[in-house]
Amino acid sequence: MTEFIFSPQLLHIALAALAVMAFVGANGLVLVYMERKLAGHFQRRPGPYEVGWHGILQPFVDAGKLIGKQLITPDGADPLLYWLAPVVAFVWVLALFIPIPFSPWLTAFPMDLGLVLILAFAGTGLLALCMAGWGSNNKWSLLGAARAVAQSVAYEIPLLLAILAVAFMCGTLNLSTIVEQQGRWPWQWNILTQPLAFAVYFICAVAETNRAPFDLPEAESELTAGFHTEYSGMAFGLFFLAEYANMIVVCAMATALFLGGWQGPFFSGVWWFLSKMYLLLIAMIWFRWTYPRVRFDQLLNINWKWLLPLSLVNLMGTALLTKLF
Amino acid sequence: MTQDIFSNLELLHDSRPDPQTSGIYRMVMIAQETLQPAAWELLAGGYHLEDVSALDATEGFLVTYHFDSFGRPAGSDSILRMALRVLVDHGQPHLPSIADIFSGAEWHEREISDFFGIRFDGNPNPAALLLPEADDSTPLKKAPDKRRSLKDLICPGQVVFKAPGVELWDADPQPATGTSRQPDHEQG
Amino acid sequence: MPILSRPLELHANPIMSRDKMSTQSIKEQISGDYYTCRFEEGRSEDTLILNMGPQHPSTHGVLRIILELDGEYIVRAEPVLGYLHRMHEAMAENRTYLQYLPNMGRVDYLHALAWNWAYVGAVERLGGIEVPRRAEYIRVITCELNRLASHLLWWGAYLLDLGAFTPIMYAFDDRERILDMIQSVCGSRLTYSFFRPGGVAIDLTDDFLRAVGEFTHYMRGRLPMYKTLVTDNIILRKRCENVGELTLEMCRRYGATGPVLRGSGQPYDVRRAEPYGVYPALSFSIPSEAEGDAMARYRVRMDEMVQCLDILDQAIADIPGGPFLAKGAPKPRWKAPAGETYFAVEGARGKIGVHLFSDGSNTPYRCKLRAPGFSNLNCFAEMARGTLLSDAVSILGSLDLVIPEIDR
Repeated sequence: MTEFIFSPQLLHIALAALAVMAFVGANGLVLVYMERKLAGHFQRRPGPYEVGWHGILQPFVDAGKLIGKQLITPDGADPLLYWLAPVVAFVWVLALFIPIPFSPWLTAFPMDLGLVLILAFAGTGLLALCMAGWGSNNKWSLLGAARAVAQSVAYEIPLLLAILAVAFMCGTLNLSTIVEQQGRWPWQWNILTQPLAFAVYFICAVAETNRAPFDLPEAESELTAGFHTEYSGMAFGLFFLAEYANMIVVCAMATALFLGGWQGPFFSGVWWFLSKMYLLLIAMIWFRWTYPRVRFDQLLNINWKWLLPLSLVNLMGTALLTKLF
Repeated sequence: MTQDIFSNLELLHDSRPDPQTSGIYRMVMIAQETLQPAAWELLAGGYHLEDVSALDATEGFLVTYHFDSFGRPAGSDSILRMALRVLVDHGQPHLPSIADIFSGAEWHEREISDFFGIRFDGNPNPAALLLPEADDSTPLKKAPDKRRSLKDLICPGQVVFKAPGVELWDADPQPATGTSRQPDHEQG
Repeated sequence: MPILSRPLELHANPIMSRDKMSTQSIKEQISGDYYTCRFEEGRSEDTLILNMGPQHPSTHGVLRIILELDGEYIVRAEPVLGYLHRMHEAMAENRTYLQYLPNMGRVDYLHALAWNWAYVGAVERLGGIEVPRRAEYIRVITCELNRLASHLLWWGAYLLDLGAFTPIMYAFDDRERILDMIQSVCGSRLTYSFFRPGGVAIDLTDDFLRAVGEFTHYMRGRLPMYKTLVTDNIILRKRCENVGELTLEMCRRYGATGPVLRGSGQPYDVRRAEPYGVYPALSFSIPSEAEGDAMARYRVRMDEMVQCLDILDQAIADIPGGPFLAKGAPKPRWKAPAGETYFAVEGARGKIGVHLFSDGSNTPYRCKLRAPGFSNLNCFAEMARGTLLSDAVSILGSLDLVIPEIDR
């Protein structure tokens, strides 16, 4: 036991945890700014402009504002569930970054079952939404949580099947190996051999992260902010950050699985990974500011009637082709 | 010549105001008992309920139901806007509700209850609509010395039918145009 | 048993009863106010009673709707009004005819000029006042610009309710141009008191007419973009098609008018049925769709925007010279001849009616305001039964409600 406490492994774990938290925090700030700037330009206005050069200090000011706000417990809310929910929402997401290969040597913990870890932990965010919805003592939050449950549970399945197809093709569940198996050039990336899986994966990713057009659990115009109606200050900030962290995870996974990860035509490295990840993030932000929201039953219909059969067909086809060739 | 929509009903007063000045093509006064049968006839006749309003006059509350149709069939002389009027006593402000015939009347009647204190018997949801629920201030009900007579307010136009015993307006019909309006009775 | 009574009973702590006002039990506290209690009486098993409003992002003003929900399905809905009631009809009896005119801009601030027109039209009928031809054209131009601005705001707000955050920005961009133009002549951006009995307050300039011409040209280029990006979007169509079915028979029972009626197949427009102003001299069509769903009402309003542009082009081309206010226009303490009159105009939301009684004095005896939104909202309870909560939001948006006009 004492060997473990002072071992290089523990140091590695501690450093990895710190690095992940720093990374998520930094990216959260960047994403906040990027989302608001892009939203502004899509809407023909400049976005944040006052604080710093073209509003570049806006995320810091936002964080400061959120931290400075009064933390209110609603009347009749269950204090344990109510205050645990944002913490669970945010902290759990950090665990998802463990197996993601940002670069050959920048992986927190390369593991053979990396994909399984991510898929297993991804479901816990849902628990946080349930706790928030129930613990708020607010019927609107309850409705938001109910929607979130059905939506997340439903969309996990095609997500899983799409990822499995890639795993079948590469023969491994280790994300680092999957990245290495893809080549440096775009035509060697998995997106060309698994285009259907990529499409299904991306749509499920948007739904899993509760982003528009699938943002019913937090539908502003219907549910007055859904499950996070009653939260203010940093509790809301944590939900906010958790949503962005989730977005980063799913885009990072998509980059690793489908877009060749850190590989690039020249000077392969972590910058390629980050650029591809940010391309996907920009796409997600673009969706949000363009499309209206789908209705709840239509949302579930899309999943059960389209994404699930398509991903199943894809999986069968991949399995067959992998076996034959 | 289409058959009159009220041919089966007992009217108290039927006249044709000048639509250019009053906006109303036909004015019909009925008793309370005729209200619901008249509403059925209008529903069947293709009319829609425009509004229900009330007026506080010396003779009582005059509740006016405005019905309008979507258009004249070509070649006919059917009526566009019609005012169906019922006089309600100040002491017993009750009227049967037509909310089960024209569903929109429910809210109009509730508004009149708020403003004038007239109760509509049979209204499915007689709660206060616009005023607070405990408010019985009936803001549009006038003090008795401020009321005017219906004779001074309404020009019925050409009278087509008048039931005996109904003395609401001067019997002299005149084609009321913009220039020959009734002279002011009071310089109020 | 209501879903949320369990956690509240578990946490019934003494701290809450410390408050002097909360001597009632918690169950009594949560049972709600007068209207919620009445609504609860008709309740079925296992349903949730929810108050949508009066503070809600998509009820377009201070509207409260009590919903009985079975999961996401609406079993019963009841709008509760009165949160914005200002008793305009009583104000009419205490003000002179000219003093009451600004009230009309506040009844429906989005199409204030139509309410202006309804009121001054009623006053003109009472007084037998002739309006000069130029004034009639000015009225048409400004009223149609206002109608276009109102429809643009409706469009942006409807899409905002449906979750698309961007179209409202584009709509407001166009609306800014209209508001700038109208401000130069009416003096304010939203609540106009521009019309006077006998004409309008001030004359239009040639700059204004030129600006309107440029604007119609610009707007004709924008509307196709809105169609491709928004109207033809599959998600929008799925949110609006077959949602909120309103039959023609229902419209007649409730007295629904305007795009709500025209979306159910009846091409009824007051500008053609009871012509007023110079509308008989202008050529425009009345769009109507037969399906009676939210998409039909949406398409009717989009088509009406094009008709507004057509009317504007004709009006700025044909506007004659001359006075903008009649010579015998009422002075401030003018006494109207005794009588009654009803004047109806076509507002952006439907048929606006002003029923005016005069006893010969300088204040109205009775002024009844017939608001189109009042009858349109009345249909909601019947339309929303059995639909999803998201559909209720879509239906409310498609009815184009402005609560101040409903509550008056």
